[in-house]
Amino acid sequence: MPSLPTKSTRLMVRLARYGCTNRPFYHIVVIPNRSPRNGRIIEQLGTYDPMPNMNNERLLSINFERLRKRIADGVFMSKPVEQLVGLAGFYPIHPMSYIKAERQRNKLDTKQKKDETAEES
Amino acid sequence: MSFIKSIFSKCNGTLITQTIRGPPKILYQVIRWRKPRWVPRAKSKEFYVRRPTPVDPEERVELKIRYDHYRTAVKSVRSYIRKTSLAKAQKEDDHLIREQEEREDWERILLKNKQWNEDIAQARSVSVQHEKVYFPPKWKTQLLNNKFEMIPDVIKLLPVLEQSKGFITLENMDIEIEKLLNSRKDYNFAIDKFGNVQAKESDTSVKRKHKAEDSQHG
Repeated sequence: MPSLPTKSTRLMVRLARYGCTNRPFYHIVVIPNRSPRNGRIIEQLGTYDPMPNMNNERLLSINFERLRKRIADGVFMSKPVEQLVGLAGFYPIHPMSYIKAERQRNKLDTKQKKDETAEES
Repeated sequence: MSFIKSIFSKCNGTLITQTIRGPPKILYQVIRWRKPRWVPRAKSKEFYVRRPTPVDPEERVELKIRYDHYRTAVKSVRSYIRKTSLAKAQKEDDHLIREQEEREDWERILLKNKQWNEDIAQARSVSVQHEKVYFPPKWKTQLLNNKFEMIPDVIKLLPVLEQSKGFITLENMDIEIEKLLNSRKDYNFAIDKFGNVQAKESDTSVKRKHKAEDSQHG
């Protein structure tokens, strides 16, 4: 029997969701790509709190020294982490960030137009 | 075909081969094992076909261009990080370079410390002079003005200060020791109940006494 197609196993930097219902909180972890979301991690590189706090900030903490080391070892990041790291200024800004921003802009524009028309009428 | 079947059976999938006028097509159906294998598709979902997620063509084009640029940029960033970290690791491995750096660091620190100390010493000498002139100690001024009632502690100290003139200090210690060595005093005398020194007995009487005691014990 021929051998099964090999599944690539490598380390990833990705988000592990902690927190609880309706209150997400993420750890940025180094973990084998095939292990479960909150599985056994190799290293935690930081945290990400996606909910804006009282100063309307979403807090992101990353140990860049370790991240640098991991990248040098050839570890890749998942898309959400790439986006976060791009916004942090460590990586180039992710294309999806631009698209999301544009969508948001369009949404706001349409809403504004709607409001204006409502006021006129 | 059989070996492909075996592969897919291992992957929990169903394999269907079809030959409808042309090359055989392989359809791969994923099984979630939620339902038993023999349960057919739900009636309501019999002819359900998932509508593909709508994609904005403009966005798609933009995304493609952006992704191309992004990938090149990321590649270069990653290669840069790898190179720098490699260089750093090599540098850390090299003992000689590290020791040299440490030595230079230490010298720099020493120099800086010396400079700092000198600066502080200078500033302090200036400030001490200033203090001496403009802010003499309180007790000194009060002594000068004879305001002893304001400083009872100083008054208490005065007799001690007077006494301290006779104290043995490091300067006059040798002289004092010489003095003591030169002046012999005999403490071999008796006192009575009231602490008065009795007339010293002659050596012979002491001896006699000892002899008497010895004879008693013996």
